[in-house]
Amino acid sequence: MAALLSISMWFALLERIMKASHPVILILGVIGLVFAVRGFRARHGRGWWKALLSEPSLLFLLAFALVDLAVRLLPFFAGVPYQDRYFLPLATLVTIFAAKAVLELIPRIHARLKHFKGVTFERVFVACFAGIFLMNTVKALLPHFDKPEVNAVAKTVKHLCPPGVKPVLISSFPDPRYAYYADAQYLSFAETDDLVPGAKLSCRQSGQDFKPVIKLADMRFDAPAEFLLALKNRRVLAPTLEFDWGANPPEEVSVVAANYQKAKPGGYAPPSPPPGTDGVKSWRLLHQGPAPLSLTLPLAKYRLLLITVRPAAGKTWTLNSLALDFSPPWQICAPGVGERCGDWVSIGLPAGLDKLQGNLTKLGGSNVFVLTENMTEEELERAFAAKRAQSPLQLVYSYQKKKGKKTLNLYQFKAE
Amino acid sequence: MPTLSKKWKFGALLGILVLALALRAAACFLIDRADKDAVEYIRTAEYLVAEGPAVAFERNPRMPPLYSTLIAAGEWSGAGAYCSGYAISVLFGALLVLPVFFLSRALFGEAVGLAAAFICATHPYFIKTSAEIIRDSLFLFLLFSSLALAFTGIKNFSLTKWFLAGLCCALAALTRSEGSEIIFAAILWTLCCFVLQLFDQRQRPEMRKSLAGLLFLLLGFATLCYPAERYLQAVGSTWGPFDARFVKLVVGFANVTRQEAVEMESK
Repeated sequence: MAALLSISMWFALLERIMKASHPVILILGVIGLVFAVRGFRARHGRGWWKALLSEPSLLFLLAFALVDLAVRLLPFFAGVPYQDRYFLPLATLVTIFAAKAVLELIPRIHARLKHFKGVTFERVFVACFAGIFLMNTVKALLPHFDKPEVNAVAKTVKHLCPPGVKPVLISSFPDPRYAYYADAQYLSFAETDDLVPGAKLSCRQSGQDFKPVIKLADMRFDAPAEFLLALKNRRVLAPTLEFDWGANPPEEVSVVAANYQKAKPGGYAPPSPPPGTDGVKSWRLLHQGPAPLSLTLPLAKYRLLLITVRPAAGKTWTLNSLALDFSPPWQICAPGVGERCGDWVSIGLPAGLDKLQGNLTKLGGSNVFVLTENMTEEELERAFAAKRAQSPLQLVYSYQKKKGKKTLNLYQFKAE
Repeated sequence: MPTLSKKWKFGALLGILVLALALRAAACFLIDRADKDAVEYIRTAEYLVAEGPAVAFERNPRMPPLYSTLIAAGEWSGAGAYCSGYAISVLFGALLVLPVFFLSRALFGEAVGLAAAFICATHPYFIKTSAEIIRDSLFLFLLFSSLALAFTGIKNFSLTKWFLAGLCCALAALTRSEGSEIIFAAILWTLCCFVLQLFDQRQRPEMRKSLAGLLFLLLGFATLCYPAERYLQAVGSTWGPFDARFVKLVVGFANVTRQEAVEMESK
């Protein structure tokens, strides 16, 4: 509920309502509401609000508006991804009051302008509605040819796919339209948004923010320390947690992942996992030797990661860096069905860029296409080189909307 | 204000309806791709025709079935799921002007009704929504039909209208789970009427009317929703007229921190 206190949230809400109901119509709607209340007051005098409450139809409309507003505001303030179109019922109600405002304003405009020659009531009336028509339809009928890449990718896939086989399109981001227009089987790499390593990571330790990868530069500790990592993207399947201890490793590291969190003044409260509770998983490691330790965590549904590091009694330990690597695991997944609807589910192919060639071979030959976003061809080549593997992909289409903005690359699998 | 004869008023409303239809149809040709969600509706409709409801609703068991089913009817008739999706959105998007007209007429009179229908017909966001393969235009039409019927049902005290409002509300809930908000609004309204009659004895007849209205609304709602839910459960769908995720939203709303909400909003 603390979100209700955020002024920026209220501004964002107003912006969304304005977008959904058109700023001019929203303003007219507010004016119309004022006119309606004034009219009601004029009819009923001082006890107008009592009359309003005793008018059952108006009370019902008020109840509907309140329920609708509550239904729309709850997800907004609960932090659920939100779209402007959720406010359309409210925008529809606004049009009624906007109409009231327009019809109330027309006589007033006419009264102001009637001393000008040729200004008649009918002309003002027609001009007002013509203005509304133009203002609305010009905006509505502006072409939205803003996604040429969707059709271009589909066309390229259809053109390059060998005849007689269904194309397979594996994208690094969730957008089924590319596969739909290409009439292809739709698969995706497990992780989508995290092609930029660490971009979704924030960490708090002693009230300080660390972004995106924690470089501690030989930080010394002589007591147990706790690191709390908040994972912004729950769809991460297998990030790698990497510790670089430097010369003095700690005695014990324990990692607890939890999918809940509590608000506390000043930051996050460490999750205290009750034993046997679902949604909490812990790994306890007894570290041996000074070598950097890395840990692969299947964190598909967890949001919080609490890392507790304890030194041996009376000893100091160091930590050079702590990194949660969000490099894509390149695990090919399919959209889940049934209970797993909305998730990406493994189709039994091993994860890893070095396994990509084998995986794509299992899926087919040159009918397999890979679509990446925010990753240039050079970056992909470098990623393969880091794994000492050769890229089995050939760039067949590239699209960049604006210079410096996201790049979309379509690759075709070069089957041997 | 110019006064129009009954014939002219009907003509004006028809003209607004045709204008709404034309604008929405034109907007369809000015977009180069369907909405992201469109693919899910189209695929479900195709599976409904090709494999039957059990396979179709397994893809997304929570999906309210009405929009996909209407698209499936288009697919089955040979028009194709893609074109049917657009046609349904355009048609119901244009028809929205009717409940808006009747609601605003009951609220402020005929002239405001026509003006509201005109603004609704030319509203850029409504046109945009109607030119996409998404269920919003169908949902809005059904929701506002239900609201207009309930509103006029209160004004003229017609239990038939309350029953029809319940049917429309059920259809709206079969399109989007928020459709059942009319039921909650009616319950809240009846509670308000109950509280008011405690303070003012003259409100007692209104209280009885509101209870009868609520009863007929629920009856209409259950007439469609109950068999639909039973049938859908039998084919593996988990759809229900009241979305259980709403409880999670309430919990989320209570627990979300200001920082998290702002981050999510900016994302």
